[in-house]
Order: sequence, then C-alpha cells, then structure tokens
Amino acid sequence: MKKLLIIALMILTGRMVQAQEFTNFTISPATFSAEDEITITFDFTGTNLAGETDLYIWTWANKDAVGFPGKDGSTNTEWGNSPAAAKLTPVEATPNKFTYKMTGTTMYGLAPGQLKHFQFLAKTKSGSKQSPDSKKNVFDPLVFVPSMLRLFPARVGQNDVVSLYFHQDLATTPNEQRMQPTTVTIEVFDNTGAAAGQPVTLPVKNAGTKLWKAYFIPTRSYTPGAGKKFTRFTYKFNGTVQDANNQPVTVSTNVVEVTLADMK
Amino acid sequence: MRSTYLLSILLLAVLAMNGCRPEGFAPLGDTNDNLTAIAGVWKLTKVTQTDFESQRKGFPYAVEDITTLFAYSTLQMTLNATAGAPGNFTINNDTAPPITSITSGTWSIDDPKAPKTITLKSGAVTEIMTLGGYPNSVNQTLKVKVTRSDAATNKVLIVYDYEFSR
Repeated sequence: MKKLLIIALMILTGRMVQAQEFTNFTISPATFSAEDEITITFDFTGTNLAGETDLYIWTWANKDAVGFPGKDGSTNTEWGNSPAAAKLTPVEATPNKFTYKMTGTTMYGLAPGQLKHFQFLAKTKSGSKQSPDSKKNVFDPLVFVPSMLRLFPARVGQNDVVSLYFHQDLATTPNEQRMQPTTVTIEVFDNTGAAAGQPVTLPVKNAGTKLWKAYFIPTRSYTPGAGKKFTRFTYKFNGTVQDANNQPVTVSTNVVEVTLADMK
Repeated sequence: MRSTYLLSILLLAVLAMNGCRPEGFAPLGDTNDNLTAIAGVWKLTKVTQTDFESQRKGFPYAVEDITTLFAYSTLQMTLNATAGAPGNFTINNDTAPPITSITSGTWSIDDPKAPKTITLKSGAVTEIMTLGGYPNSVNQTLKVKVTRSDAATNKVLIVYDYEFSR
C-alpha cells in the first residue's frame, strides 16, 4: 500500500512538473539550425514575472540527450548576478513582452553537430524570481537522421508541393510493420490555430520496396480564409492489418505535426 | 654607337611584346537574338523540386521530379515581345498548380545580350525566374529556376526547375 502511494505521488509530481513547463514564448524562425540566429519572444503576462522590467535568460543545451554533451549557455555566469549579455530586451510600449537573440553554436560553444536541443528560463538579475523551464527546443539536424515518416522537401510553405513518405522498413510497432497502407489523413491549421476544414484523405502510392508516398499542396486542398495563412498541418498514414479471424482492421501510424515555413 | 645599340634592343623588345598581343576576333555568324528566342508561347514539360538545404548538407532525398504528380503539362506561359522589347506575359495554369503568384502583367530581362533573369511584374508583385539556358535552333527548350526562401531568414529552402517547350 505504501509503495503504491509513493508511486502515485511520483506520477503526480511528474505531471505537476510537466504542467509547470514555461510556454509563454515563440521562436522565430519556427525551425532553425544551431548555426542560425534566432529571436525568442517572451510574454510574461499573467505569470509570476509580470510587471518586472529587468529580466534575464538562463539557458542550457542537450539536457538528457544521449550522445550529446550537456552544456550551459555562455551567459550562465552566476545565478545571483546575471550579466548584461543575458538581459532580455523589452518590446517598446508592450508591457511584459521581451525578446532575446542568440545563435546556438555561439551561446553554447559547441559545434553544430553537437547540439540537439536547448532549454531556458527567465529570471530576475538576482534570481529571486524565475519562470519554469521551457520545453526542449530542437535544432534542425545537420546530419541526416532516417525516420519512418519523412517529408519532402524537409521545409515547405503553404503553396509548395509536399510529398509525404512512409518508410515501412523503419517501422517499429507491429501494426506499422504489418499494415498495408492505403490512405493518408491530413489536417491543415491556420495562423489563428483553427482547422482549415475537415481532414482530407488522400490515396497512397507504392514508391518502392516498403516505401509509400502521398502528396498534396496545402493551398490546393484548402483555401485560406481572408487575411489568414496556413501555419502547420498534421498527417498520418492509414492501412489495414488482418486480425485473428483474418478480417481487415484499420490501423494508423502516429500523427506527425509539421510547421509550415513563411515563404517568399 | 652604344646608344644606337640600346635603342635597337628596346625597339625589338617593344615589337616582340606587341607581336605577342592576342588579336580580337568577332563572333562568327549573327549575334544570338536571345530576346526573340525567349519570347513566345511555352508549354510546361518538366518540373523538378530541390530541397536546397538537404542538397547543401549532402543529405539523401534532395531532388525529386514532380512533373507527373499534378497536371503541370496543361500550364502555358506566353511571353510577348513588341518591337524587339519584352512586353506583356500571361500564364494559363489550366488545371496545373500555379508556378508563380501572378498570371499576367509585364516581363523584362536583365541584359538583352545575355539575359540571366526574367522578371515578371504585376502591380506591386514581382517574380524573378533565373534562366537556365537559352532556346536555340537545336534545342527549343526554355529552362527557368524559381527559388523559395524563408521570409524570416532569407535562406533558400526550395528550388523549382521548370522546363518549357514550344
């Protein structure tokens, strides 16, 4: 009984830590490599840091990333006295909004291939107040990593031809390994976060041994509303497997979300 | 006597250096009229999509021929020339996906003798196509390249290569 209580408490604590993840920020561009300069835009409205005028970043890379060296940001000099290089820039006439520019390789002093992801928190100079840790923000890989579901091109905009690939030879679950792929389900979302319409189902073509393909153009499958643009889409491959009675059962791969680039 | 000798050597040296100067030859035949070669009605025959970042990084899966994915062969581009100068253009997409954001307006080239780009303009919208090769009497193919870049970083992400024939 005591053991059960401890396990329940551990699960609950884990959930609480997860719930406290800092999410009040955006990163531009949406996808970036460790060599790209990025801008993090913070909005502390409604958080414990609301009303603060001098805030600082505390950042680190590769936490729990197997095969990648963990490293603090170069601006993590002293928790109780953050340096000027870590100071966030207030957005003019917008209370509680700040920005911070950084480049992964410069901030962490690691080669591009040594950086997998990074996290950060915001704090006061003395560290008396702080935000929760951010989620892990993943750098665009600089080495090719084979994956079961692949997009071509790797980064696309709303008007581009998008090819979706299912490399079944890289599948790890029995359903994904055994399924006979038939369709792809795609759902597109606009910049307000709303779905552009009902999900579309497209046929899948065989593109080689254990390789399946579907393709679409976001703005050809859906029409953006006035003044709106598509910012992301999700997709999954569907197919059938035979159950114990030799009857077909519909199964799907996991759903993958893709952020659309703002192209010009 | 000595000064005459020195002058003779100097004269010979000047003659020898001038003698080594290459002669300029004008091109044989008529100069190519590239503007006229580019103008006309063009039908889209081939579309290639390049993942520029994957190609730059040496990744596999960098280039795909997407001609048959959509009805690209129904697209027709007309580049009209008036009095030896670029004029209006129209692009009839028919059932093909659009290859530019504008379908009519005016077109121009950067250099009449050796154009490298075709600029399509409609109002405030400008689209630039990079020429991949001039059509000629042997090869009646117009090759153009359109790049798509990330608006935030200006980084080229995708290159579309289009081939047209008359």
